[in-house]
Amino acid sequence: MKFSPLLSDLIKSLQVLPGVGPKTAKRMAMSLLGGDEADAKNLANNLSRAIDLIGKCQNCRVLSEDQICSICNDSSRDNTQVCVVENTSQVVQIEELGGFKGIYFVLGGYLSPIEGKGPNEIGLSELNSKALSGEIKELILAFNSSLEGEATAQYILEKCSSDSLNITKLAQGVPLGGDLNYVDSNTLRHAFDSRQKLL
Amino acid sequence: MKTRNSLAFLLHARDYSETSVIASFLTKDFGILNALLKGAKRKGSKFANILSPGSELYISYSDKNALKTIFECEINKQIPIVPKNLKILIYLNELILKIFEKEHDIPVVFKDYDELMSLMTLDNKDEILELSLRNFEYRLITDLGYGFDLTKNDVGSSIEPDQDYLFSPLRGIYSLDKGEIESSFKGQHLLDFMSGKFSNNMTKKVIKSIFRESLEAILGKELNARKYFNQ
Repeated sequence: MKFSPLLSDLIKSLQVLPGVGPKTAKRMAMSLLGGDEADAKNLANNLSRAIDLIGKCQNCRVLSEDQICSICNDSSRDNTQVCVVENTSQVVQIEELGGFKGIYFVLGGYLSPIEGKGPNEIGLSELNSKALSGEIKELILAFNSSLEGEATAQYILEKCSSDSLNITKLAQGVPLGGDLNYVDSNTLRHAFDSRQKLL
Repeated sequence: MKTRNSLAFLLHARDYSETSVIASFLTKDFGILNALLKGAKRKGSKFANILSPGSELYISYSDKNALKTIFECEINKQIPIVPKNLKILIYLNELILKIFEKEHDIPVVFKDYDELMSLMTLDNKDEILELSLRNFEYRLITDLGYGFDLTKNDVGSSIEPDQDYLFSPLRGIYSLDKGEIESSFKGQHLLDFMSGKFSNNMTKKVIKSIFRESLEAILGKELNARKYFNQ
């Protein structure tokens, strides 16, 4: 059976979501249209409002309804310590830990020549200007350990190095509760490289 | 279901779904392989550590469907790459994948890639690494059928050290009759490269520029890594 044009458009639109293929999109569309009409309208309204009103914080590029996000606006936070992450969901994840009192900078991706993502496509030029302004004392690079993540970290190190700036990256090693017998050699090597002094 | 095994290097991985990725491998036995790594981004996945750079892998995959699926992947050899050389690795991976995209085939480069990876683990060996990278490009251009002779000009005369030359992807090396123009270069640089002498900065610049022009002609565009990292 052929779907009506509107229904086909809806199914196609839902497939922009990660992990949603034609079958899942069809199920979602049927569920939205076959369920409570008020719920579906509420979802449509919230989606439309979010698209219209949510932008990027002018300071850190976190998704925010305000020009300056609540983290950058918080005077109790240390704005000389900046944690650089790939996306806003990683900011949320680190915030849930509760221990970090600095601010963030969201790149919006890693350097990936194969995918056409260069320094200007992600926020590297902006980060570079901030880092060289002299207002930042530490850049913490919280990146994936993929080739693109590591290469982006190296790029930042080469472009943003200055005497007054510390550039650090997250430690890699044995996971909490992990058994050394089951840790792969790559992780074990990193654990050795970033071993800590006990006494 | 037929199972195939090979040594391989990971060239690139992109998201396929919330937890799975599609990875492109350079394999020893089957050339370029695009395959699905199911659940690679899930916590505790057996594939998680192979997404980090610097490993020679031993992969097993099934070729039942058009999209192959990796079901086993082990690290065969650790290759701890010096961080400053990661941009060379990214350039190399883009070059191989874009050539494959354009030509739908790639000459056997696994051994050369392996040698380059080993050189990337050495600090303060920039000159040897750069020379090996240029040799890799030259072999690739030649094996793809777009080769040109660096010891002879377009009419078959031997390259003279003090003569000025120009390069064109269609003509190869040709003599500049009169004077000197911005893109011309002395024959000495070509002869030095062919004999493995690569300490002169002008020689490096000339050879890089020739291969860059040739690869751009093959690909029809400039490689992004060159723009971003000036490789």
